[in-house]
Amino acid sequence: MRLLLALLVTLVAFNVQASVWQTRQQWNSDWEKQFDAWVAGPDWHKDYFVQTGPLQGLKLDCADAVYSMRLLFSAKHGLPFVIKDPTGGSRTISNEMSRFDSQSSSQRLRSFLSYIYGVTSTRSLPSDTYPVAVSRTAMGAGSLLLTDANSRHTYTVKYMSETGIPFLLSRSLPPATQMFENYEYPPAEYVFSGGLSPERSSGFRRFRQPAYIGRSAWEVPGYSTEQYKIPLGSWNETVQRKLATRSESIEERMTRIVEQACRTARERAVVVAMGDRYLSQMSNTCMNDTQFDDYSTPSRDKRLKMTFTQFTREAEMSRGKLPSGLQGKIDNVLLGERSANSSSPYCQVSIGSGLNLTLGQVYERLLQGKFSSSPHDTLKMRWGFTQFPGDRAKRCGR
Amino acid sequence: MNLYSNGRLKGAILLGLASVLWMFGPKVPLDRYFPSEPKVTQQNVESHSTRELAANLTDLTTPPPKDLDRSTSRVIRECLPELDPSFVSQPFSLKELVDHIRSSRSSTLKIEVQNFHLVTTDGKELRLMISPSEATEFDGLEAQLFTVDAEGLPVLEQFPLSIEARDIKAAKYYFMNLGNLTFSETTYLYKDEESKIAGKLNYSFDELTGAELSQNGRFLGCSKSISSKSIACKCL
Repeated sequence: MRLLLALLVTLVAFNVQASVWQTRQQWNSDWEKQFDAWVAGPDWHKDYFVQTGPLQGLKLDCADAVYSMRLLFSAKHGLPFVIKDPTGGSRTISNEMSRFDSQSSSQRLRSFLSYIYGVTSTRSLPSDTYPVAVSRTAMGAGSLLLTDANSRHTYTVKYMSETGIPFLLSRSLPPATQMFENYEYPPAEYVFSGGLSPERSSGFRRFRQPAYIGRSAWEVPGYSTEQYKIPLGSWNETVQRKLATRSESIEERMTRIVEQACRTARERAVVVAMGDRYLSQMSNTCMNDTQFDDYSTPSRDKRLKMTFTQFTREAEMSRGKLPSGLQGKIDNVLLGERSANSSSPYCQVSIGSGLNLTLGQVYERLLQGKFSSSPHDTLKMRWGFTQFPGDRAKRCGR
Repeated sequence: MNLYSNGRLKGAILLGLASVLWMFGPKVPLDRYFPSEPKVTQQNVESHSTRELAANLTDLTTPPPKDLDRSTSRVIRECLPELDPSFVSQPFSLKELVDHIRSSRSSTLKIEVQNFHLVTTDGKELRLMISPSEATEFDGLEAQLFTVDAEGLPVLEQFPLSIEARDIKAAKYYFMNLGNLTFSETTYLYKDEESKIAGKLNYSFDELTGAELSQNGRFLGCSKSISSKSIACKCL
């Protein structure tokens, strides 16, 4: 009887998959080019996990988005996806794993993605990637930007513009399905917060091919420490200049900066609203560390402040050199609170509960330190309508 | 996308063999690895994957061999120039280096250990991974617990509800209990908050990212070859 059962299991096993997807190709320079083209093309976009399909609704954080970029292309073309085991095991984790054999092909891919999300993080990325040279090819589509361990954030690079500005797709906590778009270098002080050094693993990087997993980063072809030799104070400008195929006009530059400020403010609105919704579902208790971690915004607020500081500086330098329409937008932001009374305020930020702020109001309130970063504070405190900290934030100790 | 594999035959044979073994093999209840009551008796627990490294690093009763030769010592001196010259002028073991750095409380020397492994007496491998929180908003650490599947790959396990992943001390306590290690016999290794090499707990050096020795922003990564018993160190 036991023998029969064993034979039965063996027969059933003929229909069992032995990998998440079959490896039919190997990574080489041609496939790397195709990967870059796929990332730059229409398939990889901020709503990838929002759109209808087997992967719809997967929630991701920043590192998940970066790993997804490589994994999804690998799955699509039968290429190996291999990473170092971040838990310290001696084996690599790859699409060859058989844990999800019993599932359908689409479910298997979804499960594998979730699994990768569970074991990887910004900390595991240095083992699976390497720092690259300062060039359009290396820092362009398909690369990633990893911040220092102090900042713990990462972005996928969708493409590099002619003027040397990266278009970035990323996600941050709390995990969600939609990614954010940025057309800007994050502040260099944020990316390289621990200093410019290859040991910090920050900066532009690319995925290693499987043969180089587990080896020292400097053994990977294309490894370069060039980006760490650029002075921090002029890092963004220097890299932009080196990567540009044409110079950026002052009009393009100011348009980019003011639009980025608007996008960043709206991003904050999404995250703060999520935190407010979460808080409203809780009784009068305090958030635990994880919840607080997910919904607080000190780092985000610091980044937004850096963006506004740059905006102020650049607005001053460009005055008198811009077309009237653009100058009008900039002046409107510089009006601060008064921009709310103007006939056509630039960039309305919908913050939830039917409330709106102009970018000018966000600008003034943030620079005056009126925003609360604590998710224990009310929506109005988070956006500077009323003073913080509130009773709950005081009681909860943060 | 073709998701059928050419490894089907091999998988079938292996699974068939496994099923035969399962038919005749001993029956082990899966929940035995997660006891509801903490055990307090230290058993013969050792790391499966880095057993020999563990022998050097964690056996407090046996004097460690001087496994770092002069050239390696030179590398270490170059990487960590603020090490006590009188210490590095003599041959020393990796464990002694770790101990020396840990005892240098007046300096900024520290050990950052992220991955802990242990194998229970009945062969179950457990891993505890400690990493910075993914959030950029919170300067904290979080712990993740893993078992290992038949392929040697990690399986994420949940801590009991009473264990907060951000409470590293509680997570380590729980982990050690799973391996029949008591907290008092082991240590709290992160950032020198308590200083004692674990009784039978092992940790690994990750060459690329962390689990390294650092001193004022200078990094040293060391790894040990299990086969040759040699240790290679390099500046990171």
